[in-house]
This record gives sequence, structure tokens and C-alpha cells, in this order.
Amino acid sequence: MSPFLASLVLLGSTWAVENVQIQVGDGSSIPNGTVVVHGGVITVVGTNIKLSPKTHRIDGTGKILTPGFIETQSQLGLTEISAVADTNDHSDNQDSISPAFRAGEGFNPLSVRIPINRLEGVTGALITPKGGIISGTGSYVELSGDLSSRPDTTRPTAMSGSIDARANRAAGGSRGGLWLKLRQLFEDARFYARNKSAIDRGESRPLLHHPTQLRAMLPVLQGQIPLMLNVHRASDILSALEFARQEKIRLIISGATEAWIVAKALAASQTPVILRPSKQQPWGFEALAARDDLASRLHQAGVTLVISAGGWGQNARRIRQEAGIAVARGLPWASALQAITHTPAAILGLQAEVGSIAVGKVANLVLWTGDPLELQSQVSQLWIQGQPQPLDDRQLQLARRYHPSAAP
Amino acid sequence: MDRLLTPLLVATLLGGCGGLPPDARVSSKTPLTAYQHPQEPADPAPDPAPGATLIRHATIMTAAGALHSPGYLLLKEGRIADVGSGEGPAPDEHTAVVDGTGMFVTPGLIDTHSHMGVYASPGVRAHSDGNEMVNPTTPQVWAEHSFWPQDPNLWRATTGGITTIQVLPGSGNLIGGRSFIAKLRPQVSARLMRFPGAPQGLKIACGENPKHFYGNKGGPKTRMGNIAGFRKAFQSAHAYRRKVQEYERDLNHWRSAQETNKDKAGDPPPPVSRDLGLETLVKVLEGEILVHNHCYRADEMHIMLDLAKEFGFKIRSFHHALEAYKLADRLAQEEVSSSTWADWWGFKMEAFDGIPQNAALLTHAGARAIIHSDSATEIRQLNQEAAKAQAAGRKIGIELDDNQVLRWITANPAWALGVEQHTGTLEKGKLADVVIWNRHPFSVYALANTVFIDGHIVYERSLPPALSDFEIGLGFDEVTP
Repeated sequence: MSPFLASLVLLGSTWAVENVQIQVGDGSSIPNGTVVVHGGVITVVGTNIKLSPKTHRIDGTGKILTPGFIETQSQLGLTEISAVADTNDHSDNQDSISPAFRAGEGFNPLSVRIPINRLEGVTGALITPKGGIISGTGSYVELSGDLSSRPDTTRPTAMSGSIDARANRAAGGSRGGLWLKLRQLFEDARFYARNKSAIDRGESRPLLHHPTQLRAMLPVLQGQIPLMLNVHRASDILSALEFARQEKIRLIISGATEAWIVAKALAASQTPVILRPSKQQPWGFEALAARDDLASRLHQAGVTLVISAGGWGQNARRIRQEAGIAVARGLPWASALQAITHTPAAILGLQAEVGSIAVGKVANLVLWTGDPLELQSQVSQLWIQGQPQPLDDRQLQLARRYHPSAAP
Repeated sequence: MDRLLTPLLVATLLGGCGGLPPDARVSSKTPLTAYQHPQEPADPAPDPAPGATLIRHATIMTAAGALHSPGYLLLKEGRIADVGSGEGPAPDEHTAVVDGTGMFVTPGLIDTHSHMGVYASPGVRAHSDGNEMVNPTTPQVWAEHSFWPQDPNLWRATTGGITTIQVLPGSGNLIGGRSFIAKLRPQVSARLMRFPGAPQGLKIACGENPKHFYGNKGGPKTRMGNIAGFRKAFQSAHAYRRKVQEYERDLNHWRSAQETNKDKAGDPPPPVSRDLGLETLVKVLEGEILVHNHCYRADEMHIMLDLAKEFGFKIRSFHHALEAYKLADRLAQEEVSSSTWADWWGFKMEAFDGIPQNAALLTHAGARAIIHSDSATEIRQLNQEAAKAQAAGRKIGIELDDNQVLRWITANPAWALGVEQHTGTLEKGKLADVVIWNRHPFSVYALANTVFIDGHIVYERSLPPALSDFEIGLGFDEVTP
């Protein structure tokens, strides 16, 4: 089921936030405006809006309304406790090349991590596999914590892979070995596409990969879904860009520590980059050219930029702090907000439904007590598909248990 | 001197009486002098910055209660000479003056939990020097001896206002070894970076890590195995201390006998066979080495507090301590600090009950809370982590003022490291470890403009940073993007 269909089921509920600073998510803002939502969809965005008396009104005076944040490198719902292997569903664990692995099949909407991260404004996430050369497909999900948010894994959002140091090791320890394996995979996949019936009849040359795996590569080959590659070293990024051009596939780069060196090539090829602003240090030989101002340099070069909290997803809630750090290091504020709302939606092909406050889009909205990137600001109210979300989680319950006089 | 002569004397006696005058030929029963252990090298000499700097028209956050806005801070010969509200003293022509209009000044930040230098970047196996995991109990090793001063993360920490760090062995072992308190002024050796006058610490670890690593290598394999390991080690320390006390008693007897009748006194008593590990644990018992205990769960913290009582030592700080809020009252009462995070949780079973309100709940109960990093990236935003923890407390109605929160990353860690009389607040007489911020340090947008250690500027944002040797000549500055 599409993640957005659930909202259309709601009938008759119309509400509005008024007198609020609207940060649209695409870089524009309305200093004092109104947003109207009906049936979970945004129907009006503007100023001096006359509301019907039946509309439930929420006063946003002194507050800021933003789209819900979208985390693009998430294992939310795929892992409960990372050190407990049984709770981890982010990887095939068998094969470093497993395009048919579907992260969505392991997604648990009832994960305790979801309310914890939602509470800080994260309303959507790309649930991705990790750990392989081609790890498999990921799915965009809404963080309603509802079983209906389970994704349709036959229609994945993106294919994940990596050509970083860990992938090199999985490929036998060299970059040449890694690219060899990728070429073999793509050759086999194209061969499969051209000779499917012959293969099914058993009348073809041997394949290195099982047809199930090759079939999963077709949406990538046909440009229907992007290939997201985790890569850091400048020369490796160029290799990835060349490969994508030759194979005519849509590419997204994540990690991208040395991307500033090849920013022109990234901009020219319109290859989006997902990065984590706080992690730009020479932690390995593929990251020696790390720079604190990576985000602002890429932005200045015209590269499509997405900010991620990275990691295991237990702390997707840190995404707004990451955006704030990028601003401190030179990225314009509006661009930073865009990098965690509109742009992640756009690079995943979801911009028609989510990522900004615009008529026709799903009402994934967050009302803030102040600047959403500032550490003191808190979520005042939050909606997913127009539904108000509870502002409570396990951690607050534990806190109250040990602080009986705490405000409920 | 006698010890050198003895082999020479033997050689002379065996080889014939050549070369030595008659009165140098003493009996082969020449008594020895009392044994002395080799002495470790001394702390580096203090190296305060000469001259004076006056920072004025800024908001001075002292972390000692007082807030001066506007205020001034005078640094002289590496120390804080004066601090207060208003215009401050008129500077003489030798004083550098910083106009701090719009800026905020805090003590240098202190991180009680770092593995920089011992797990240095780049993170290759050759740099994996933080866990001597050949035995679960290794009190004999010192983090200082693994520390690489050219770790490129060290100068990066100063960009976040960090001036002092505690470098710890990892948590793979029950007893990991001695910690190293360092000031972040670039030096060629670890010893030169040592905080003069700081006591050493001892890293110990509870919970999942030791039993995970040693489960199939002879143990410990369970939490009860962990605790038995600690008790055995500290019992051995008691026995060793007893032996040393017996030796010292016997030595004193011998010394008195020497004074009475030198020739009849004989040899001093043989020294106790030196054990570097037990020596470290005895220093813990004596309070000379401070205990830092990696421990997540409340029930385990209770056990460790009881164990410390059993063997007669104190735990200076629990580390990570994600469940410290569950025993905040006992931690307050027994004066045990907790070094924790703002929002890390859930990566292990023992981390599952971590909550962002931890530091706030501890402070509310009167216990000492500390925000630490255990991360070479997070150390650069310790001010932000403290701010998050403050905001989290506010969510459940705990209002903490900026002074209390600033102490989580200044005065409280200074106390945990035993250097609170030297640094951690902006008070007269203390070391000039100071940060000038471009805005309120609890803002996500705050940047350190200038960082002083002992009055020396170690980081100045408007200038190119002082790269570590490793980064010299890598050529990225010349790369044309």
C-alpha cells in the first residue's frame, strides 16, 4: 500500500494552523500565514485566509511550522538493539551482492525507536539495507508507528550499495576487484533483461547471479529507481560517476567525505550527495581530505545536497542538529532546512507527495517553539498524514518514573 | 655506588688484585643500601604564556556561579589574574586587548572520556592501541604509553573549545590500565602534553564488553565472572600492600639498627618483588589514582559502589552511566560523579534505558553530572550536547540555569580528574584555560573564536589551524576542485 493512501481514508476532518511562520522547505517562507489541512492533505497555504467556523484552529503565534524531516540513511524499524544480532534486519549477511534483498521486509512499524525519533520532528525515512557492495533495496516509510506504514516492497524507493573501504574488503581487498564484481553484475542483469525466456528455458550461458537477484536490478538499469552508493574518496566518486554515465543509471552518492574535490563533476552530472556534517574528519585513508565546510562548499558549487544523521538510525532525531552544524560551518539556513525536507523527497522521486508545505502534499507537519535547528526548540505539535502524533515516548516515561513530580 | 662496585669487586678478586687501593678492597659481605624503585620521569615543567591578555565587553560565564555581562577577564603569565563585571582595569601597553563585544567567554572545556591518540585516525589496525586485550586484568599498562600526539583529531578538538582531556584505555578489559590527563597543546611526546600535577586515573569496566570479549578465552564470561575478577584483583592488591607494609616495617627496623651499629646491621630486608599492576591498584586503595568505571546499568553501579566500599576505595566517576538517574540519590550522597551522553542509547542491552534527562535528573538530585564524548567527532560539540541535555530536562520540568549546565563540561569534569584546584572555572589564580565563543555556547551555531591553554592561544578561528604532522603535505590545499 502506498505510504500516502492512508491519509485519504480520513473523512471530514479539517484543521488549520494560523498566525504561524511557515518555513515551506523549498527555501521560501511565509512570515505570518495559515495552513489548512483536510483529509490529511494540505489544501491551503497562504496569508489572510478566511477559515470556515467548522475548521479546528490551532494558533501558531510565535511558533514556526516546518515540513516533517526526512532521514535518508535510516535503519529505523530494522534494528532494535544493534549489538543484539537477532534484532538486526538491515543486511542479507550472506552475500555482499544481494540486490533482491528488501529492507522493507524487515521493517517493524512498532519499533520503540520510531516514537523516540518522531518526537524530534522526523516524520519520514528511507529505510535502507547496509553492509554490502549491493545491499538491496530500501523503502520510504512514514513514521506513524502504525502497521499500515509497512511499505510495498515490490515497489522499492532506491537500491543501496557501497564502494567504500568496507565494500573493498568484501570484494577481496581491492578497488579493481570491487568494480570487476559490479561490472559482472550489470552485465548479467542486462543479459537477463535481453534473454529472459531463453534463461527460463535453460538455454543460455551460465550466469554468475541468480535470476531473482538480476530481476531486482532491472528498475535500476531502467532508471526507475536510483542507485545510492556510499563512497568517500574523491577518485572513487569519479569512478562512480563514470560508471553511472556508462550504465545510464541514476546515481546518488552518500558519505561523500572528499566530494568537495570533485564538486564540479557532481554538479555537472546533477548527482545528489547525502552527507553528515558533523563527521568530516580523516577517520580513514578514504577520508583524508575531510573538511568541516563540506556542505557549504558543495552547495556553492551547485550540488544537490541532503543532510543525514547517519548511523544506525536510533538517533535520526539528531538530523536537525546536523543541519544546524552545517549552518554554523557556512551553509545558509534555508538550504540546511531544505536539505532535510524538500531535497530528500525530491531525490527519491517523492516531491509530489511530501517534503514541503504546499497545496496537494501530505500533511506531515511540525510546529516548533522556535528555530527548528536550535537545540532549545521543541516540538509543540506534530502531524503525519494530518493525524496528530502523541508527544510521548518510552524515554519520557522512564524519566517521569524516576522523577515523580515531573510535569505530565 | 656499592651495587656497582660489587660486580667490579668480584671481577677484581677473581682476576687478581690489580688497580684498587687496599682500602677499597672490602669484604665480599659489603652490606647493600636500601632498595629504591626506579623513578618514573617527572611531569613536564609548567610553561605558562608570558605577558597579559585582557578580554573585555564580553559575557563572562565563570562556571563558578558568577555571570558578568558585560564583564572582563585578565590573563597574566598563564593564569587568571582578574575577572569581574563592567569595564575592567585599564590595560597597559604590554597587554593584548580583545574586544569581546557580543562574545561569550567560558572556561576551557574538559572531556573525561576520550580515546584520541590511542585509537588515532586514520583508524587502521596499526593505530589500535587502546585495549591491551590479552588478559582481562591489565592494571600495569598506561594509556600515556599508547598515545600518539600526531592524531589529527587532537587539534580538531580544540576547535570545539576543549582544553583538557582524559585519555582512557578501552572498555574491553575489566581493568584496562592507567589513564592519561593531557592538555591539548601540540607536543612531540605524550609526556610533554601531560597535565602537570594531575593524578592518574584507572579505567575499569563492567557489563557486556569484558564478558563478551573473554567469554571464550578463559573468562570472564558472565557478569558474576566480571565481579569475581574485580574482587580477586583488589584482594591481591590488599595482599601486596600488606607485603609492602611488612617490608617497610622491616626496613625501618634495619635503619634503626644501622644507626645504632652500622657494621652489625647487615643487609636491608629484600624488597617485595615489584608488580606494576598491583602497584597501580594499591595506589587506588591509597586514593592516589582515581577510578573511572565504565558502567551502564543501575544495578551494576550499585554492585560496584558496594565493591568499592568492600575493598576501601572510591569510584570517582561512572562512565556512560546511562542508568545513573535510577540511583541519583546514592550517587549524590556518596559523591560519585557520572560522565554521560546527552542522547546516545540503545546500541546494547545495557544501553536500552538511556534517556536524555539523565544529566538533568542527576543534577536535580544533587549529584555531579558530566557530559563526555567518547568520540573524536562529538568532542567538538560538547557544548551542544550539554545544551541538548539542558533542554531535555526542561521537557520534564527541570529548569537548570546556564551555570549548572556549563559545569557539566568544565568544573565537574575538572573535579572528576582531580584538577579542580587548577582549572575548570574562571576564577582568580586558576590556569588560563579559556574559550572565547562568537555567541552563546549553547547555541548550535556557536563557534569558538579563540582557545587558550595556560594563556597560550592553541586555536584561533581566523587563522589556519596547526595541523598534525600526519596531515602535512597531503596536498589537499592545492587541489583545485
